[in-house]
Amino acid sequence: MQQVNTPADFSVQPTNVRFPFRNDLADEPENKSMDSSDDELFIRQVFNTSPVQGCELLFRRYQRALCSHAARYVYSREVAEDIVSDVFCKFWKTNAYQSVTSSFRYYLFRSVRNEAYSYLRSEFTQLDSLDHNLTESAIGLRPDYITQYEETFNRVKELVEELPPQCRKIFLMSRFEGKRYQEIADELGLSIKTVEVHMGKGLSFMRTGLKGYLTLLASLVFLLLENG
Amino acid sequence: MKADITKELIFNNFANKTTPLQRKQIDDWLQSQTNEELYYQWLEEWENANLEYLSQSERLLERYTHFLHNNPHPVQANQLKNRSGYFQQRQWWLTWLIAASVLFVLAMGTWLFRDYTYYKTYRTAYGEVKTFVLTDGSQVTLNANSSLRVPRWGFGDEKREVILDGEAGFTVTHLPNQQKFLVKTDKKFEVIVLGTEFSVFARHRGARVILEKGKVQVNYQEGNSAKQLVMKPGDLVSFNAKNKATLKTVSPSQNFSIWKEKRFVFDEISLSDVAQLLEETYGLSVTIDTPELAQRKLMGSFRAENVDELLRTISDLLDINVVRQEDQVRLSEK
Repeated sequence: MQQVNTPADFSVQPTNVRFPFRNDLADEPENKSMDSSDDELFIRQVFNTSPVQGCELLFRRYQRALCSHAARYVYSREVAEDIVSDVFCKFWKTNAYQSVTSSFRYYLFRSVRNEAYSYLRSEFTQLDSLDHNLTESAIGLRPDYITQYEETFNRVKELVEELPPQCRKIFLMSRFEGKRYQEIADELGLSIKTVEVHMGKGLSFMRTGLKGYLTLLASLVFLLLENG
Repeated sequence: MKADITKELIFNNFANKTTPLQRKQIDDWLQSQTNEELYYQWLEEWENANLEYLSQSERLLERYTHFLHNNPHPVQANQLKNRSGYFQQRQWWLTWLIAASVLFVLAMGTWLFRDYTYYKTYRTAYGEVKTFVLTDGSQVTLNANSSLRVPRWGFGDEKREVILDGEAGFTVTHLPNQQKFLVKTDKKFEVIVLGTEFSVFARHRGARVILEKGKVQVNYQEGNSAKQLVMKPGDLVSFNAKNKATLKTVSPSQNFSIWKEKRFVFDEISLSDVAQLLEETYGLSVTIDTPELAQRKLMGSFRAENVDELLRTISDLLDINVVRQEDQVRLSEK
């Protein structure tokens, strides 16, 4: 079902390479962390001379893992890749490489994960009444604990597995692979109506199953504060 | 406690193999930023070893590189000077921006979700029939898989308007100020009433209005022209795919509104139409074995409490096999 594209000559930066540059750390701006991100040292050096190259290197290194991670939440290649691209574009536009106090990896994974979670939230939460959610805006801006993220994407996976086989197949073809209903109908020899019905069931099943894992209105406020 | 947190445990957590207590321990461990850094290092490793899917890296990188080169910005070398003064000013401005943005977002949210905020939505699931009363005393019976939107504010102040998707029966109260009651649908027609009993059917496959008591005016659009017709009791107006209206009179025995009592009347209706009815009302996916079978007609009136009873009745009436598995139904000759 999933198309595997051979990556050609694409290389991922090795994570544990240590370079001969040492003790130049003393000259780095004081707010960069100094111990656990030795493996990003090279990239940080590159930023000093060419930020564009630095961003490119970061992208090369992390995009695959980030897209995969985002896809666990949103179950769509296209959306996952959009989220990751957005995060990297914002990284460039805000000159984040100058102001992050953590490792780049920390910043990127956290951003992508937040965006993916918010997307999932806005998709699958129905607003029963706007005023009801206003009162809980102070709590639950985002998951209180990091392990809630894992719980959420594992829950998504469980729910998809629980879909009846035909329903699941159609759901994945539509959502994950981005195929249109007509394509799916043709491929499986069904009517578009049937495909629609299955998708409706699938989505409503997901919505019900994710209740309690996601809160909505608060996230709008949160996203804004993040960008302020 | 710290000694317990190993890479293996974190990997297990990603793979959904940890207990709640272990997750709590992990969360405690993650309070420190150093640990959180380590966590993301392991997350990267785990993801690369267990990719959910393989992204097309070359294409994505190309897109990003284009973006970088199309959006250059001048190197900000001396930005770090005057840090504190700059920061304070920024903070004040920030508070203002947040306040204005929150208001904006709320307004946007209200507008974007206006269907939810402006309207109260009554909705029925497949196979469900619900009756309720509106604030003006009008009674509505909503058939399965339908929704009715009623404005939360202003309903009955100057006008009474509702929006229907599906099928519903209305008993509209006659208001002393002669206020009209308006039923709008997704289809290009609306029903204006003074105070009567009527039924509106507006689904994917077609649309019709049946009047039982009183008088209604139907405004509809056929092509580019707006048209109108007036109905009296016993009239049935049906709309074809081009929204052309046909007016007929139906005899009292041919009662289309019997679904309210969980009775079904089939008056020479083909099996393929019945299949569509099953899909609309119960969300079933129906396959009929042969085209000949699909053309067979059903005639009769009977009660059915639920979909299985209905299927059994159909099977008896036509002497055919009806097999149901969850939402898949198959009709075949015996």
